Amino acid sequence: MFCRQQVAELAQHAPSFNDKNVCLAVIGSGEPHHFKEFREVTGYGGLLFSDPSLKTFAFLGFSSSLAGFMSIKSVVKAFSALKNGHRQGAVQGSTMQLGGAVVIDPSGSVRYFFAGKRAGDHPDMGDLIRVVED
Amino acid sequence: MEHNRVSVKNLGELTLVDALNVPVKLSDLWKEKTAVLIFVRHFG
Repeated sequence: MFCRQQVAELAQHAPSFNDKNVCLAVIGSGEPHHFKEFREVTGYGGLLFSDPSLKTFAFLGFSSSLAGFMSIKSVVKAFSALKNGHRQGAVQGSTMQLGGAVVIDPSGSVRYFFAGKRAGDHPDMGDLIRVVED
Repeated sequence: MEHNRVSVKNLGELTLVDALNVPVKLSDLWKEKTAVLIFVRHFG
């Protein structure tokens, strides 16, 4: 449910990124044949990729531990996501894997980095938009 | 890992797959434009 909530939110902000002429991409870890359903549920129509090997997640240091997967805070966020209509679908990818975000410019500079510490931790959309506005 | 410790060169060598299971080199995403990459836990 967290991922659907996050990407549905991202879909709403996609025009802000497109206006800035940036390459916005969502990367998951499930099989690509699940992309269609994911797009339908979230409304996200942009670039979508997968890393079933989880190598990129590991390289960036995104947690894949049980401790990070569930906590009291993440349970509270789960209820909030459910309240907003974002039900958990059939999970396609690693349930223990946490996500994050990185912004890299053509010179190879990392302009933003975020690593979720618990399920339900998402990068702030306002922060991301501000980074690409600079 | 803090962002100033990310080795962009090494990260860029890793590959993703697109909807057709075709490998895509990560560095291709920031070759011409700034890339905003959102990593989600799963597609559920």
